Amino acid sequence: MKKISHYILFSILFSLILIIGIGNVYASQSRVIDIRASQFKFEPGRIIVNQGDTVTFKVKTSDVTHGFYIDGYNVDKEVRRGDEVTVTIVADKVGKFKIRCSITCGALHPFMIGEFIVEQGGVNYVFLSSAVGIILVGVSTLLFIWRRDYEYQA
Amino acid sequence: MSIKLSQIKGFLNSFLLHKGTFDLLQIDLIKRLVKHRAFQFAVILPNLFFFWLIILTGFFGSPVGNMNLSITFVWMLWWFALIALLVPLFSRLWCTICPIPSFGEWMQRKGFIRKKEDYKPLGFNKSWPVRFRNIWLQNLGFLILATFSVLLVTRPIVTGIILAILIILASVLAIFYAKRVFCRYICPVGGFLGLFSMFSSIELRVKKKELCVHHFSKECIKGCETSYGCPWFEYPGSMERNNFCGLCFECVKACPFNNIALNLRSFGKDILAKVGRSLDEAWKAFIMLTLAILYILVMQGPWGWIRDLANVFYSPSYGFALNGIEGFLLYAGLFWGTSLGLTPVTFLGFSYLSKAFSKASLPLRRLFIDFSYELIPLALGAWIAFSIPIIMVNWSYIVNTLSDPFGWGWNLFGTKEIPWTPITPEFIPYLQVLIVTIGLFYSIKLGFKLSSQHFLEKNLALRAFIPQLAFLIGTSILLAWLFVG
Ligand code: SF4
Ligand SMILES: [Cu+2]
Repeated sequence: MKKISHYILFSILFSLILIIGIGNVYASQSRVIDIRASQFKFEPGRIIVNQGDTVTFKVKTSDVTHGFYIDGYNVDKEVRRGDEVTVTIVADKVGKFKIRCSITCGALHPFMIGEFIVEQGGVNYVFLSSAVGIILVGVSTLLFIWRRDYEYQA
Repeated sequence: MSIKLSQIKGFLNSFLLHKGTFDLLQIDLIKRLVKHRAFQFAVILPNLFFFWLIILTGFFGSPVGNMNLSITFVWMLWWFALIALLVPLFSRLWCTICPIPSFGEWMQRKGFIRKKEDYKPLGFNKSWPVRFRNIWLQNLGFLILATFSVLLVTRPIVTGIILAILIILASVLAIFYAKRVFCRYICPVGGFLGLFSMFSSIELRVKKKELCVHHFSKECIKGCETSYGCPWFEYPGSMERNNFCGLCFECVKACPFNNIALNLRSFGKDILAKVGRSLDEAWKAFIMLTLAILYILVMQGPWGWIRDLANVFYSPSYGFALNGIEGFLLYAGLFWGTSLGLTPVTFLGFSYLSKAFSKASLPLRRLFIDFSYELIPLALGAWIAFSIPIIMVNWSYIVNTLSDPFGWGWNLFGTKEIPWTPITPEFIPYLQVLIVTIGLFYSIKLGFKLSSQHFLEKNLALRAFIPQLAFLIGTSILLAWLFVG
């Protein structure tokens, strides 16, 4: 049992060091991103920035009117044909945020989704820690059940 | 009403602490309810009303999915309630209230509620061919529907047509074959309901098996004045799994000894049941796991081009125009190839490693089939995770269409104009990862116990399970990547 807790402790420390260590090396920048909305996608579909970046979206539609909504960032704009809508935000929250169309635009409208990913210093720590978490939960579940059954038998 | 303190204790123990089982039929009200002959009719009837409404709106309403009740009620409300609540908590309770087979059943029974004294079933009453007494047809049906799912969940008319087909098919089969052949062997929903109900925290079982063995008249199968006997071809006395129990409660009505219980129990118990494990069910598990991943990728991912492939009737305005057949074939190939080929073959590889690691003398086929059942909790977790944003993001479409079912601009209950407001969408990915991790927990717990069934030595069981652990963790990380990566 001691070994297991050492191993868990070590991984947590290791991830912490990674998060604090690398997260600060990168300086934030300003980015301008052109987005084209059409039935039923945003292009580019995946936008990856770093925490602290100032991001300006310039959104156009190539067919009907679409909405431009970003989860958690309080962005919701209507994009009409011929218009270019500009939105500027500071990417202060990390993680993956879906970009959604907020105006019914046709059959697949609810699936018109893009992704806005805010990393820290070029690394997606949310995913990294999720993966580490999954491995830890998996391995410790197995060890726990194996030990318990083992004790039960003995 | 007489609920005793000991009953409350038993209920809490079983429900919250997973200690032992608690028979819900001990509660007088529930027992009286399910024993009443009018019970099933009474719960199907309101549901039937919605079915007609869904078919009507499907055929005559707006072609825009999220403005049409057929789409919002079936693919948002029903789907979420089914997969996230009904199946994990109440097994196949959906089948209790499902209207699809009701016409056929009423026809066979020549009535809605009462059983006639000189009852003989109407119809040819044939028995189902032995060759098809498995869930392969359900696997096939589900895959076919899944291939067209992007159309199905976005085009009201397609939903209307499919529902109508299912009702007609169920009724026609009821004319030729005895009882609920459609439900047991055909219904594409029934296939995954059966598989996932193995995980449910509820089960219908007999209290004392010996009593059944020595009771020769077996009213639960044959029926009696107050019951038709099981329409699902099950015998409660030997039932160890939920898979084919549609919770119609005919056996409760029939049993003269009150030997039937509706137990609260621990999650995933049936996965450890040694009976009934078969290749068709293994494949069902592969299909369900694979399709959950593909659906998340296609319907919630940022890759528009995959949606273009899936959307075979591409429609600039809302009509139909057959377009991009080659793309669609590619897409269909992806669905069929991964769920029937790639996933099972990969899993076979991991099962081979299990065999090699443990130097087991068991046939590979045995390990492959048995271990496949460990995928059920993870697959269910993936489906629930997939379904969460459907409700949290798009709930407003459901209440909008309640007031305007056809999308014609009505406002019956004043909920038409409620704006689209996702509920804390930024937390959805974390919730999804959490639910998949809970699924993983149960998959590992049950998977290791499956392994222990084959290896008396715990260390061998552990060795055999290590490749399985890798597979389960790998799949969970893939899902996590889709949610937060
Ligand atoms: S098996 Fe299918 S048709 Fe039969 S009751 Fe269940 S869901 Fe309805
Ligand atoms: Cu749109």
